[in-house]
Amino acid sequence: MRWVALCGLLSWLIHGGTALAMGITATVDRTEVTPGEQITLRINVDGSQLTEPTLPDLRAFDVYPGGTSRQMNMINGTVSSNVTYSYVLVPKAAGNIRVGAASVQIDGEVYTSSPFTIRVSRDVVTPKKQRGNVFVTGSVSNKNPYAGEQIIYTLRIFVRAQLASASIDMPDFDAFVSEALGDKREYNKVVGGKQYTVTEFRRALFAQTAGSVVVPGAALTAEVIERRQRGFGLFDIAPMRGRRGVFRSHPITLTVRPLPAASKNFSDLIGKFKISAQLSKAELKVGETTTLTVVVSGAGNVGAIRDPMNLVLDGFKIYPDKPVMKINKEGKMLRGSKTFRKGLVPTHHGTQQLPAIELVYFSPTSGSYKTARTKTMPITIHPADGKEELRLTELMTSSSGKIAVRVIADDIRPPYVALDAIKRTGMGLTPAALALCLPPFMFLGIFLWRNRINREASDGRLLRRRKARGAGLKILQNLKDDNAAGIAVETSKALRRYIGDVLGIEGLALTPEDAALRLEDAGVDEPLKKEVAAYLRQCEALQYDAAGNSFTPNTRTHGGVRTAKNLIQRLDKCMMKVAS
Amino acid sequence: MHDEGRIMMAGVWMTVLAVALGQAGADVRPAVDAGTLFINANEAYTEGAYADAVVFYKKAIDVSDNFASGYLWYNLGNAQLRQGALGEAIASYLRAQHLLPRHADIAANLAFARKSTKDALDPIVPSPILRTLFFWHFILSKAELFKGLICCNGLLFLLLGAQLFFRDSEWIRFGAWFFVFLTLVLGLSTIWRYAAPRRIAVVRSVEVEVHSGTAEDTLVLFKLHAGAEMKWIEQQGDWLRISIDAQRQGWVAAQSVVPLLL
Repeated sequence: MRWVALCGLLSWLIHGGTALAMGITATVDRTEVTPGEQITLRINVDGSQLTEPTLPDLRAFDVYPGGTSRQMNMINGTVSSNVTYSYVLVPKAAGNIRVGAASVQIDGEVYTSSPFTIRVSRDVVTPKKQRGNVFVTGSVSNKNPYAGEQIIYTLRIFVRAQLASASIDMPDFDAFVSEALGDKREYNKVVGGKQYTVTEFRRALFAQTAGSVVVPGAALTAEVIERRQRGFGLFDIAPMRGRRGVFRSHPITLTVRPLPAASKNFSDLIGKFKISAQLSKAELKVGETTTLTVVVSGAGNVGAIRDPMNLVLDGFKIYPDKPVMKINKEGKMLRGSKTFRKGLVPTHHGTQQLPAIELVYFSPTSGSYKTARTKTMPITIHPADGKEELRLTELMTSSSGKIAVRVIADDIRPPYVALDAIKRTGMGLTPAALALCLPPFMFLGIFLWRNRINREASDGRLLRRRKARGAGLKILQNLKDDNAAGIAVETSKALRRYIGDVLGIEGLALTPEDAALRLEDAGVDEPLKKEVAAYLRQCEALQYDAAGNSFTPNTRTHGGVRTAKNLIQRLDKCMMKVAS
Repeated sequence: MHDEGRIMMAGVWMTVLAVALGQAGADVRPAVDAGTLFINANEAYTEGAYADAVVFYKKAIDVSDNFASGYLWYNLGNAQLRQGALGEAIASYLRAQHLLPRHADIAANLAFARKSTKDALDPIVPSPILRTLFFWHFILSKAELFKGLICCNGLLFLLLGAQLFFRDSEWIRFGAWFFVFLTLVLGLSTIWRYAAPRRIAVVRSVEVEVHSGTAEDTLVLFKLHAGAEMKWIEQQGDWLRISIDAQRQGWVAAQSVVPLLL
């Protein structure tokens, strides 16, 4: 009997060891949601190898990765792993969405999960139903406002878990003029028996056009840190885990009503406004100043407050001051006031009535245009003491005994009348560019000149050669004798002098043969040396040929000079080559 | 002739040409009409005929276009302000200030005109850090920068030339490095001015609607009023893309604003 029991136990253990579960399952935390609400899809893969599953078609959703958790088990010496892949799905539209099977290949065999259907209903789920650990709600103070009427948009984030890497994507208020109301507020609130920490943001919105206008939903992206159940596995030691989630508020559709036909003198103000006026002095003398202060204040589109005064007062000079705007964004609504001041300086004495100042605004509460007005204000003006003249500054005595000057009016400075106003204040581009380029060119010229001077100073032969060339060519250039024999003498002299100067000897005494010898010693090439000697011999022949039979007339004169010049230049080049 | 000689001759010819052209530039004066128009404009202004004064000043500016005078733009701004054309007056003052950046009257009248605008917008000016670090770039006009660059460039090469003859002079070497620095600084500023001018648009209409696109039937994002200054980013046909701060951008009809490149 004992053996039977032991065999049975062994058989169970072997069976258990070999029948380790392998496969894939796909589960969601709920199957009925509204558009914008999130679903958590978990795909669980069991097997001895870690293989990535193939996801079903999820194009009907916005998909955000939600993390991966792994678990390893060792049973009877066989190691198996369990991997859970999490995804956050947010449906894009209402309707029934069929989610197909996820598949995975383990040990060459393909396993698939069961498909399922998610119903996305059009009905908006109330916050009462959204009682997860985190949810976001958006609300407006009035879903049926008038165009331009102030409505308050409130975004609340309910949290009863720890969040990490949280970021909030506020809606685009493209169809509105919007203004943030104060800083965010934080408080605790119990919803459905659970206490949440609520973070609240408020904005004042002013719809720009009538009709159906949508306030888009806001989205909170965060990693929710949740406490995890402690398992018994060897590696299951992490007590906390993060789950990335996107939490959206629902879009809100407003039906914006157009304003009724505008009343005359409508100030473009929509809300609740009042107007007050005050004179600094109701009794004054001609030339003195009284300040009329008008304050328009209220709740609504305060940014549109304009000067309500259209004062045309006979017998007064009017000097407007810069208006002062004050906006209070800390309360429940956007409130503000704008103060307009005008300095009034009477030019005639008598009694006058300042007319009432009217402000026509639209009241959304009553749905009609209303008029706020100030009272008429009497002003008594006495004649001035002595000569009547306008005093544009008012003297005030300060505590220090000094007299402060209060500026009542300001004006522009006069035009410039001197004719030099039409003088050039710009600069022509061409002269400017030339003036910019000139110094570098001049520097380059000076640099090259200086370089040449230095080279000549350091190399005596170079200087001698240059001087010799200059002297030889100068002789040839200044030839005046038309007589062939005279020219021959001069050209021969020029050539011999050049050779003598270059070689540092007395050149005039050189015979053609001596010249050839000396040039050969100086390194001049053979053909040139011979040519020089031949030319010198020809010159000698011409010099002593009284009949002039040796040369043609052209050769005698210009041709001979040209040849001599050419020889000097070629010799110079040759010498330069030898020197280098 | 040797190469050195040719280069020297070219340098001499360049000098002669530059002097001749500079002389020619100095001799050319704006046509007599500019002076007459200027006097007529001033008379019209004094008599209170501001519309006529505006026409005369504009003609004077057209005539003396190559001699762009900050004073003419300033006077034009005065006449436009008196006429009630707030946006155009501010644009004219900005042009005047571009040519005469340190002129107190221009700054005063521009400030006066800006006080009359409706929209609570800050003028488009560079950050205080930039204005402090690169102060010369903002207190000198484009022409002054260019003239400074020419002077520094000339002195730099003069010193480099002197160094060829006085190689051991520390003063010349120090002076040369100093002018290398100044030339670089002014050169970069000048290039900056020419390559990246400030793009400002000023609203000339009483009220202008800023749209989300380049069509009248697109969403109106916000409204601006006469004299509002904004950056303009690009032009597409008859529409200018503008921005008033980092968040708010849109398109306005080009004819309702005065676009400036300063």
